[in-house]
Amino acid sequence: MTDTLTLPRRTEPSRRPHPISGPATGLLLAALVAGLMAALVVGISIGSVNLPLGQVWGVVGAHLTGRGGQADPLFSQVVWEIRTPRALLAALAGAGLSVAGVALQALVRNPLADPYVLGVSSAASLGAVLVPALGSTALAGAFGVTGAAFAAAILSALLVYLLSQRSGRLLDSWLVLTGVAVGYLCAAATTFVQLQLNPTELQGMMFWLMGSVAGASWSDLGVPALLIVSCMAWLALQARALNALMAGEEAAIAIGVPVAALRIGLLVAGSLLTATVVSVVGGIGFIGLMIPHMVRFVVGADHRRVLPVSLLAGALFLVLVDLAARVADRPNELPVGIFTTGLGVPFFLWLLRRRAKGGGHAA
Amino acid sequence: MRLDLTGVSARIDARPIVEDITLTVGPGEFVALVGPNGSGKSTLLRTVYRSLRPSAGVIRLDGQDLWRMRPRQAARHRAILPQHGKAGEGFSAAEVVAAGRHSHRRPLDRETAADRAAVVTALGRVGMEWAADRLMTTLSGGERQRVLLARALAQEAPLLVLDEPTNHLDVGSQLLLLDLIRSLGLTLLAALHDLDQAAAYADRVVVLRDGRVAGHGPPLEVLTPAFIEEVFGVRAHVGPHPITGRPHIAVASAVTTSNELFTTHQGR
Repeated sequence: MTDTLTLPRRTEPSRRPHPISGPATGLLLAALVAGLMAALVVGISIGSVNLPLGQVWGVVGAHLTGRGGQADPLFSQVVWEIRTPRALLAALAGAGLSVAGVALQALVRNPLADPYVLGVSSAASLGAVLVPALGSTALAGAFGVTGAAFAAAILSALLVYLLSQRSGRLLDSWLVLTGVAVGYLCAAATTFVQLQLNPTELQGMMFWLMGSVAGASWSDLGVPALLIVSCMAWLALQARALNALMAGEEAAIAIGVPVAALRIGLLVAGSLLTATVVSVVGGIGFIGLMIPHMVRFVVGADHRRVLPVSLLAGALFLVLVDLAARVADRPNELPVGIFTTGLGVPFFLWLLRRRAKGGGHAA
Repeated sequence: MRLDLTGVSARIDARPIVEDITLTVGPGEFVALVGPNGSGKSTLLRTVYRSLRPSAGVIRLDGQDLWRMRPRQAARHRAILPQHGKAGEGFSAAEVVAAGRHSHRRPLDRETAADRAAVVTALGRVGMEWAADRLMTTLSGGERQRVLLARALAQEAPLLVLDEPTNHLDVGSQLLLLDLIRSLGLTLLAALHDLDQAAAYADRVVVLRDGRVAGHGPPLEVLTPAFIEEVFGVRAHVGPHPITGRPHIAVASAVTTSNELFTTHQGR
C-alpha cells in the first residue's frame, strides 16, 4: 500500500501559478469593464473634426433618454450616427475575434491558431467580395454578404480541419501550414475577383482587405452582438471541457468529454464569430492570436477565466486601436487592419521563437 | 471492476491493425499488454479509451457495453493515463487534477466540497500535494506523470488503463510510478514495452504480435526464452531478480555471442 512507498517531495516554497488568480480575477474583470467604458467615451469624444465635449455628450444623453429628435441635427449626425456605432462596432469586433481565437486554439490545441492564421478570415473576405462580383444572381441574393462570408469561412475551416487529419487524429503541426495554404488560395481568388470589378466597385472592396470599422451604422451592430453573446454563452458552458481538451484528445475522452461533438461546436462557433466580424469590418488580423495569449500569461489557461477576460480585453484593444488609427494621421484615417497586423506579426514571431526554446507558461 | 474484450478488431484508414482480440482483466488484477512496436498495443487501448470505435467485437465493463455508455458514465467506470501525457501548459497541478472531476458534475455545477476533497486526496495518494499550485511546466517528467495519475484517480473509476506510462522517464521515476500504480488497488490494464517490468509487476501478460494475441497467462509461464526469441527476436534469460527475487527477464541481441560486440569495439 501507499504507506510503504516513499514518494519524493520537493520542499522549496511554491509561488502563485499565475500573476492573477482567484478573487483577483474579479477585480481584473471590473478594471477591464471600466477601461472599456473609458475607451468608448474617448472614442466617441474624439474624431476627425473637433467638436466641443459638452455638445458631444449632450447629443449622446439626448439619444439615450429618447429625446434624440431635439438634438442639433448636424451634431446628432456626427456623434450618434457615425461615432457611437463605430466605437461600439470596434468593441464588438475585437471581442468577437478574440473569443474566436480562444475557440480555434482549443479546437486545434495549438496556441498559434487564430482566425487569420487558419485562413478563415481570408475565406470570409473571399465570400464577401464574391457577392457584389456575382451581382444580382440568385445565389448571391439568397445568401447576402454576411451569409456568403459565413459560408466561405465554414467551408475553409472544414477544409483545413479535414486536410490536417490523419487516422482520425488531428495533427497540430499540419494545421498552421494547411491554414496558411488555404489562406493564400483565398487571397489569390480575392485578387482575381477584384480584377473583374470596375473601379467604383473596387473602391468599396478595399476595406475588406484592409479591415476598417469606419462607416459603421447602427444596423451593423445587431447580428454581431447577438452571435457574440450566444457563442460566448455556449463556450462558457464548455469551459471545463475546453480545459480538458487542452490537455490532449485522449485525456479529454478519458474524463468523459464528448470530444467529437465539442470539436464540431468549436469549429462552428469559431467560424461563425469570424465570419460575422469579417462581414462587417473586413479582415482584421492577429487579434485572436494576441489577446488570448496575453490573457493566458496573466490569468493562466483555465477557460473559466480566459474566456471573459479575452472578451473584454479584445473589445478594449480594438477600440483603442481604432482611436489610434483615427488620430495618428489626422485628418486622414488609417485602416485598423494595418495597426493590428503591424503589432501582431512581431508578436507571432516572438511567440514562435519562445516556443522553439522550450516555451514558458504563457502558452 | 471486470473488463472483457470479446473478438475486438480495429482499423485505421480501413487498414486492420488489431484482429479478433479476446482478453479479460479480473477485479483488482494487473494485466500487462506487451508486444513489439506496431503489434497493435496502442490501437487496442484506444478502443478501450473510446477514441477509436472497434470495427468488430464488444468491450464490456462488468457486463455493460463500454461503447453504449454516455461519455460521463464511461468516465466514472474507467480512467486513463495516456502515452503522450500533454502537460496542459498554463495549468497548475491542482487545475489539471480538478479536470478529472468532470464526470461527477453537470456543466453549470459549482465545485463541491467533495470535488475539492477528491483533488486533495488524489494529489496526496501520488505524493504530489506539495505541487498543487505549481505550473505543470515547472515539474519534472516523473512528477508530471504522477499529477496525470492523480487526475485519473480523481475520476474515482475502478479501472485504470495505461499506455506505456513509464515512457521518457528516468529509471527511478519508472519504478516509482509502477510501485505506485500497483499499490492503488485498482483493476489495471497497461501496455508496457519493458518485458522485465511486465514480468515483475503484472499478474498476467497478454502478448500481441501483428495485431493478434500470440500468448497470454502468468508472466513466467508465457515469457519463456524461446517465446521471447520468437516474438521479439532477442535472446532472453528468465530467472529471479538478483536484488528483489521477483521474476526478472534479461535480454540480449540475437546476433552477437556474449563478448563479440564488446571485444570488437575494444579492438579499435
